[in-house]
Amino acid sequence: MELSRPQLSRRTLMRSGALGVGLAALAGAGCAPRADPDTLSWSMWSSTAAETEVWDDFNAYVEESLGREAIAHLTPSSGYATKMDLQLVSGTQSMVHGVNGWLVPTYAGRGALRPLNDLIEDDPEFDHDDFFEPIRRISSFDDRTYGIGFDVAPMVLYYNKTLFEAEGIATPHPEIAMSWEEFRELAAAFVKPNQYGFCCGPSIDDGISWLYSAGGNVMNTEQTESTLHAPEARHAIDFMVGLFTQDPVTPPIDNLVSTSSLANFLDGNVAMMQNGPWQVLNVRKADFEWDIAPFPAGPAGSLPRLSGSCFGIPTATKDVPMAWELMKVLTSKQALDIYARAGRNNPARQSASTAFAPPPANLGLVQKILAGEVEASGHQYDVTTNWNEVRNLLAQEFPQVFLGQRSVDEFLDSVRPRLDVLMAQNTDNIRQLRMSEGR
Amino acid sequence: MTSDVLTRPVATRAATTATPHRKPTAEVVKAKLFLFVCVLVTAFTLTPIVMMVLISFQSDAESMAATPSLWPTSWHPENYARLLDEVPFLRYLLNTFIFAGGTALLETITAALAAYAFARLEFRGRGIIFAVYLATLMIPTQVTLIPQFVMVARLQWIDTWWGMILPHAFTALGVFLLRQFFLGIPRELEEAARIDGANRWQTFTRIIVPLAVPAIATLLVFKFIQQWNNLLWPLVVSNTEATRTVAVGLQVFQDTNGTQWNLLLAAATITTVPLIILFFISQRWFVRGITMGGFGGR
Amino acid sequence: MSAATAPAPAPAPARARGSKEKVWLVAWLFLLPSFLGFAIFTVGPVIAAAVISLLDWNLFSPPTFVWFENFGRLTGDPTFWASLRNTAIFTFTSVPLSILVSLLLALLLNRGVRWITGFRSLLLLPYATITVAVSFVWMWLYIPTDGLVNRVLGLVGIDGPAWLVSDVWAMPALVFMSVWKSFGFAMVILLAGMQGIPETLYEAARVDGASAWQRFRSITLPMLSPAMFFVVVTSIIGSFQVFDQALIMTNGGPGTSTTTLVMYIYRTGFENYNQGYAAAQSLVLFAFIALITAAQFLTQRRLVHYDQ
Repeated sequence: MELSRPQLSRRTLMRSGALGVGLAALAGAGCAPRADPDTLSWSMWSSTAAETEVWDDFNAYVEESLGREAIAHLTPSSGYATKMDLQLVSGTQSMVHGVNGWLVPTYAGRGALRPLNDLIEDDPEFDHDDFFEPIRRISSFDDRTYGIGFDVAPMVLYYNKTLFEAEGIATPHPEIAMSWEEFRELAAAFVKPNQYGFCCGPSIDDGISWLYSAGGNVMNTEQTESTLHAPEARHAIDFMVGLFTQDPVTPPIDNLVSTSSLANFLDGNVAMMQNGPWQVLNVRKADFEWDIAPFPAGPAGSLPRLSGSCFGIPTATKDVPMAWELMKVLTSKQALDIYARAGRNNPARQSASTAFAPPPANLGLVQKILAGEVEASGHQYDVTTNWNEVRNLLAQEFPQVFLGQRSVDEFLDSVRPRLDVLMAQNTDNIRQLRMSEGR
Repeated sequence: MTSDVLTRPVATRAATTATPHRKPTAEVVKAKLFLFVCVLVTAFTLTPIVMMVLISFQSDAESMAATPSLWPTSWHPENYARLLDEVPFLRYLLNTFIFAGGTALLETITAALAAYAFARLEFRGRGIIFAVYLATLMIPTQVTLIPQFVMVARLQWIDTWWGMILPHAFTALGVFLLRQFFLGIPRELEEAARIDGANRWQTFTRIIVPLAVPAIATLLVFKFIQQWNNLLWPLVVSNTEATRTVAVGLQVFQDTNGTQWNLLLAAATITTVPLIILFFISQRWFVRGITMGGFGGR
Repeated sequence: MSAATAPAPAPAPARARGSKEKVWLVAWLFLLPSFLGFAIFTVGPVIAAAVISLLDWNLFSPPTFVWFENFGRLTGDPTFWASLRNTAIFTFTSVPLSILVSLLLALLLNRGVRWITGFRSLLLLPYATITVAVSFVWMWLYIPTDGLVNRVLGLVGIDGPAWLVSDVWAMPALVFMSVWKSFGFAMVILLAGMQGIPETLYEAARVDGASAWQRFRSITLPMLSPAMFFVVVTSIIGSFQVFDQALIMTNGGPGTSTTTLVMYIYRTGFENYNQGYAAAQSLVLFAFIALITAAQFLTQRRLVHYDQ
C-alpha cells in the first residue's frame, strides 16, 4: 500500500485554506447589488418552468406598462408561504404579494395585509365588477377587500372518455349535474378488478365539495362553532366515505400525502376524478380521451368548492400608490390573458375568460358556472383566520375514516370539541383585529 | 505473511499483497465471499437509487401515475435535455459549489482550531463553553429560523453569499466531531514535539492536523453534502438566479398540483453526480490514517 | 511564528516553556474564529428563540409577554405528547439500528484493498441524495399492492402491510427508510475512527493468540469509542429532530401515528402562527435531548477511552 506522507497532507490543507480565502473574496464580489428603492417588486409562487415563463411575461408587461424596472421574486410553491412570512417579519417583503385565496383571512386577520377599499373607491378607472363575484368574496375578509384576484374556479368532474366508450356507457351531460345516486351507480358500473369508478383525495380539501353540495359546512356562518356533526354534513361525510369503504368505487389509498387524485386518474383505469380546472394542464398529458362535467348535485345542488388566488399589498409596504398601480397592472385584462392563455387556470376577470380555452372541449363549463349560466354552481371556500390549523386537524383525523381505521362517529366525536376551540380562537382573532383598528 | 493471513478477520489485504502462486485456497474463497457480500449489500442499498434513475427516464404520464412500473415502458433520455433547458442548471451547480464549499471550508477550518482548544488546552470555562456549543445542536432550526433571517435582513445580507454562507458555518457539529478525534490522538506524540521546542501552533499543524486528516476530510465532505442538500435556507435567503442553488432549483418540479417526478428525479440524479465524484476523490483522505498506524513502520 | 497567531501578542512558546505559558490565552486564540461566528449566528438566534417562548406572537402583530403561559399550555396538548412519544420511539429504534448497520459495514469495509473505496463511495450514496427525491422513491417502494417491498415480501410468502397508511406499520416504514438514508454518515465516521487505530495493537494481540472477537472487544471497540460516542450523541440529537421524510411520506399520519415533534413545532410556529408556543415546545424538546446527552456524557467516563 503506497500512501502519501503526512507532510503532503499538511501542504494540501494549506492549499485548501488558500482556496477558502479565495472563495471568501469571490463571495464578497458576489454580493448582489442593493435594489434601487424605486424598483417595483412583487412576489409570486412559481413551480414549473412554464409557470415561471408566465410570470416573466407578466413582469415584462408590468415594465412596459409602467415604464419602470420591476422585479418578480418567484419562489417554488412548497416554500412560498414560509418565505413570505419571513419577509413580512423582517421587512424585506415585496410591494405586492401573491396570496392563496384561502389564506386571505389568515394574513388579513393578523394585520399583515392592507385593506384595499379606499384605493378601489378612489380609482374610477379600476373596474372591480369585471372580476367574478366569487373571487371578490374570496379575497375579502370581515367586510373588507384585501386582494385583487387573478384566478378563480370551481371543482369539476373529470371523466375518462376512452374508458366510458370502452364500457359502452354514456358520458355525463356537459352542463347538467347528475344526482349523487346517479353518480354512485355510474361509478359502480366501472368497478372490476384493477378498474375503478372514481377517485378523489381522502382529505378535507376534496371532502368540502360534498359538504357544500349537501348543504353542510365545517362551521356555522358566524364561524362560532363546528357543524360537521349536523345532519347535512353528516350525510355528505357518510356518502363520500361510502365511496371508499362500502362497495368501494375508488382505488386503494397508497399514501396520505398526494391529496390530489391526479396520479390515480392518469393511470387510465379510473372513470371519474374530482379536481379543479387548474389540473387541466397536467391532465393534458394523459394518453386517453377525457373531458369535464359538473360536480354531482347533492341535496343542496351542485355546489363544489370555489377557490382562487389574488394579489395583496402587505401592511408594511410604504409606497402604497405605486403598489396599487403595480397591482392594477398585474390583475389587468392583458396580464390575465397571458395567464389564461398559458392554461394555468381560469382567470379572475370575466373579460379575460375566453383566453382559458379548450382542450378539453367542455372547458367553457367553468365560466358558465362562474357566470351563473347553468344550474350547476359552486360554493366559495369558507375559511377562518386559523384555517391552516383547521386543515391540519382534519388532515390528521379525517383520512382514518376512509382507511376504515375509525368510524365516522369516532371521528366526529374527536374533532368536534377541538374545532369548537379553534372557532373560539378565530372569533378572538377577529375581535383583536377590530380592536387594533379601532373599529 | 501466512500467520498474518490466518489471523486477519478477512484476509483480502494479504490477498492483494501476497505473491499469487503462494495463495492458499481458503483465502481465495474468503476473498470471493467477501466480494460477494460487498456486492450484495451494495446492490440492496442502491435499489432505491436505481429506481430513482429508472423513473427519471420515464415519460411524464408514466412517472406521475399512481401504479409504479419498475422498468420504464419507453425511455426518455430527453428528460435530461428538458431539465437543462428548463432551469439554468449549470449556474445553479456553480452557486451550490460556492455555497456548500464556502460553508464547509469555513466550518472545517474554524472547527479544527476550536476543537484543538477544547481537546488539548486547559482554560477556565472550557466545559461550560463546550456544553453551550453542544446545547445549540439540540434546538431545532425551525425555531431559530426567524431570528436568523431577521438578523441577516438587518445586515442587508439577503440574496448575498454572506447571508447564505455565514449563518450555517459555525455549528457545533464540526467542533464536536474534531474534538472527539483529537482526544483520541496519543498525547506522547505531541509532548515529544513540545520537548523539541515546537509551540502550540506548530504541534497543531504538524502533529494533530496530519493525524486527523481522515476526520477533517470527513467533516469537510459531510458539511459539503449537508449544505449541498440544504433546502430551506437558500430558498429563503436567495431571491435571484445569481444565488439560487440546485436544491432550490429542484423544487421547481415539485408543484402542489402535481409533481413532475421524472424531471425532479432526473434533477436529483444529476445533482448527486458531483457528490459521487467528491466521494471517490475524498476516499484517499479517509484512509490516510493507515500510513500513520501499523503500515508506517513496516 | 505562524501568521495565524499574529493578531494578539502570543507568548513565544519556545521561550515560555518552563516558565508559565499562558495556556488560556493560546486557547482563546484557537477558539476565537469559531466562537465569534458561533456566538453571533448560532447562540444569538437560540437566545432569541428562548425569549420568544415567553411571548404571545403571531408574527405580524406586536408580541405581548405572557411569561410561562406557553409552557402551561403544553400539559393539555395531546398532540404535543403524542408527537414527543413518536419522536422518542423513532429515535430509540432508528439510532441503534443505524449504528449497528454502520458499525457492521464499517468493519466489513475497513480493508486496505484498492477496490474497496468504490464500495465505500457507493454505500454513502443514500446519505448524499436529496430527501425530497428519495422519499418519493420510497413511497413507491412502499405501495401496498405493486410496490417493490411487498413484491419481495411476497416472494417469501409474506403478505406485506399497507405500509404508509397503516397506523401500526407507518412508523417502522419511516424508521427503515431513515436508517437507509442516514447510516452512511455513521459508517464513514466509524471508518475514519478505525483508520486511527494503530496496526501494531492488532499485531501484538495476534501474537498473544487473541481471537477476532477478542480483538474487536479489546482493541477496536475501546479505540473506536470516541468516534462511537460522537456518532451516538449526534444521531440521537438528529433523530429527535426528524422532519423532512415524515412530512413527505406520511404527513404525520395516519392520525398522529407518525407526527414528529419538529413537524408539530413547525406547524405551530409557521402554519398556525404561534411562534411563542412553538419556541416553548422546542425548549421542552431541548430539555429532553439535553438530559439524554448529559447522561451519555456521564456514562462515557466509564465507557469511552481517550488517550490521557
